[in-house]
Amino acid sequence: MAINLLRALGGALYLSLKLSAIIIILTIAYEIYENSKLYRTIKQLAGKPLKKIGISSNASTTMIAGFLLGIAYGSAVLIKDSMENKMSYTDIILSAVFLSICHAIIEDTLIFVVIGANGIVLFGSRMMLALIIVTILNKMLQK
Amino acid sequence: MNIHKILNEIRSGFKKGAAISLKIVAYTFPLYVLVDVLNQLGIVTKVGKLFSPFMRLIGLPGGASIVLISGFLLNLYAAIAAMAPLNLTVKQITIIGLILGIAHNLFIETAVLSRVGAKGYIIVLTRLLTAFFAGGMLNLLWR
Repeated sequence: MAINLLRALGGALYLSLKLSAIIIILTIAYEIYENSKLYRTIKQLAGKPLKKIGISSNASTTMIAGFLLGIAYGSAVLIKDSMENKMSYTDIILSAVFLSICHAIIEDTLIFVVIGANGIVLFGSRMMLALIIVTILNKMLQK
Repeated sequence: MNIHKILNEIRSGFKKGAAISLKIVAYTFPLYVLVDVLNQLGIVTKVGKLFSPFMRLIGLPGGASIVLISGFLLNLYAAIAAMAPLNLTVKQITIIGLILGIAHNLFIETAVLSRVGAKGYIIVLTRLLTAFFAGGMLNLLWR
C-alpha cells in the first residue's frame, strides 16, 4: 500500500498556516483592545447581565478574561482575583462552572469555523448551556 | 487616537502571536502528518471500530474518537490537527467543536480552576457530562 506522504505534509502546512493567521490576528486585536477605553466600558456593561445569573461585579474581570481569552490565558487574572479575596464563595463556584462550559469563545469558535464547523450553532449552544446551568446552580446554592 | 501607539500595539501583538503560533504549529504539524498517515494505512478505521457503538450515539464516526481523546487530554489545536485529515461533514465537525469546546485540555485547565478554589473532580465531571449531553442533543436536533 502506497502512502502519500506529500499529501500529508501539504495538508499539515496548509492547516498550520491557517491556524497561525488566526492566532496572530487575535493577539494583535487583543493587544489593541487591552490598551483601549473599550476595555473599561465593556467591564461596566457586563455587570448587569452577570448579576442576573448570580455573579457579582467583583468577578467581572475574571469572567470577561475567561470568556474571551480562555482559562489558560485568563488564568493570571483568575488566580490573582481569587487570591485577593475579591470574590465570594458563590462567585467562585458560579464563575468556575460558567467558564468551564463557555470560555475562549472567540478563539475556540474561529478555529473550528476555519476547518468547516457552523460557528453560530457552536457559539449559541455553549452560551445557552452555560446560562441555564449557572442559573440552576445559583438557585440551588441559595437554598 | 494615536497612530504611533496603534502601530506599536500591532507590532507587539504580531510578535506575541508569531511566538504562540510557532509553539502551536510545533505539535499540530507532526500530529496532522501522523493522523493522515494512520488514516491512509486504515488504522484510524480499525481503532474507530472499537468506539463506534458509543460514537454513533452522538452522531460521529468511530474514527473521530481519536479527535475527542486528543482534545480532552491535550487541547483544541491538537484535536483540529487530528480531525483535518479525516474528511468529516459540517454537522460532524460542529458536534466535535461543541463537545471539545466545553471539555478540552482537562489536565491543565482543571489544575488552574482548582487553584481558584473549585473542586477538580466536579469540574471534570460537569464538563464531560455537559459536553456529551450537548453533543447528543445537537445530533438529534440538527436535521
